Amino acid sequence: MISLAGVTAVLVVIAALRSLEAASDQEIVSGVLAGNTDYFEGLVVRYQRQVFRIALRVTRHRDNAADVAQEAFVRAFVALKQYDANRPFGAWISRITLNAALTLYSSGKKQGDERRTATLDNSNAADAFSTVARTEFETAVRAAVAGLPDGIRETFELRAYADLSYDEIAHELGVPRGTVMSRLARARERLREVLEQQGFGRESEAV
Amino acid sequence: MSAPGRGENICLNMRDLLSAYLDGETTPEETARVDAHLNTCEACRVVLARYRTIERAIAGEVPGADPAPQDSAVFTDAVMSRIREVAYSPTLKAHILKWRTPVVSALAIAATVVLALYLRPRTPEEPIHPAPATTVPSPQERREIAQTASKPSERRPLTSGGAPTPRTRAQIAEPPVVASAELGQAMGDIAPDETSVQGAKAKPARGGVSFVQDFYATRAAQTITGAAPAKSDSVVLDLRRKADAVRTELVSANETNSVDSLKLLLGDVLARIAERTGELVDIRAALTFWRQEYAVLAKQSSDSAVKSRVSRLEGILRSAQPKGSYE
Repeated sequence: MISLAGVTAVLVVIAALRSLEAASDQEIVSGVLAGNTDYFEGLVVRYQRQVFRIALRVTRHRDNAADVAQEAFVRAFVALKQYDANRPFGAWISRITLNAALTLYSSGKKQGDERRTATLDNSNAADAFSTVARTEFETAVRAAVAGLPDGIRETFELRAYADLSYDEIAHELGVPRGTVMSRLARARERLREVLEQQGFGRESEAV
Repeated sequence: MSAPGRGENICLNMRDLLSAYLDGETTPEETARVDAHLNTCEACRVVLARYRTIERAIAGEVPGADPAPQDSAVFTDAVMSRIREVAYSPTLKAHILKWRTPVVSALAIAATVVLALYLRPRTPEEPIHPAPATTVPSPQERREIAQTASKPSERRPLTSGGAPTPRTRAQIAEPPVVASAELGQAMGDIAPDETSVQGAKAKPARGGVSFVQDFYATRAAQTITGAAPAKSDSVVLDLRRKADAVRTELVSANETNSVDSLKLLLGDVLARIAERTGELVDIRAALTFWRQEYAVLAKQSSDSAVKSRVSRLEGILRSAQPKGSYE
């Protein structure tokens, strides 16, 4: 009797692993929460490009992006109980990735230095000038984003770094879609103004 | 530079739509409205162009960087192995995270250990097996070393012929500085202090001995702190997998100077130590021990390389929970 139950359990597990590729995110999540830690691999495979891309946008550095991406998955695993299965998993882990990247790597000089190293390493003398100009503009944009009022900034970051749709942002932040739309418009106007005040206008169009 | 002037007040009502238009979040009717407006309003065309420029500055790809993990399978394995650590052993998690914290200099020093013994003597084709080299202890000699490791008072370095020679404490401590300087030269942006580099020019390299020294230090540190956790085969296997990933990645990328590579190298040395001792290595305890060793030396010696090593280790230990640590 016991062995029969054991065989059944093994068969169930094998069947579950086979169907893992076809399983929905929600099915994988409930499997992981039920104790099948290895199911989480399905989510790692499915979302690693997306997570890595967000991490790379924030850190501007492959090594740091790999760290952030790994950290984001671990954080998602740890917080998986809090995931609301009615919402898209992609948006949820994107937000986790963004927060991980911003807390780990966006603060202060360190990031700028690393980014400069990275970009200069990849440039030859001919386009060194445009590399420097672009780096300067990117730095100014980041500073301007960091200077946005909190609610607006987070909305804009979820859009610009994490590529979430307006509906996903509305879900994540718990605000109406119209609010997302107007916040983004305000964020962009504000960024444009700030950058123009700093002399980035025509130059930036040429970048 | 100049703000769009003509018609700006009229156009302000368009800005919400313009922003949504940029994001592809307008309805077909709204899209048609924006298109019609853009056809007639240069000011809004300029604004839209600037929005796009800002967007590109944020979302644009990093030059020279493929926006995907280098090796999907390696990445997945690395994530899953951390996930399993988290899932199955909270205390082990805390332990592993110690060597995963982004302390580049700590990694550089730890990687010294690996480079000294395992990388230097290898040929590129056979990166796993150390080639016979006069400066590297043979397997037999290394067994001797492992045996003497638990008795620091009896430890002795190995000379090129393998014959032990009595040496002073100060002499024993020289090689790690030298090895670190080699690492610094090889690793460019993660170079240790310049004084070590000067030391390297003055002294012959004895990387194998430096590993011995640091290996002793690690074992002794474990004895002192009693921090060694319970033996776990799965942990050793896990470290083994990390070490294998190191070699694959290093060989395929021909890359030895990135932070990731250093982390992987560290995984390698931890795996080897874990295999021999059946215990995990507490990096923090090891670093503390090295710091104490060098501090004693610094009092006896006027060598600036030793002093800088002490202050470097102190700096690392102070920042062992650096900004961006995992908890």
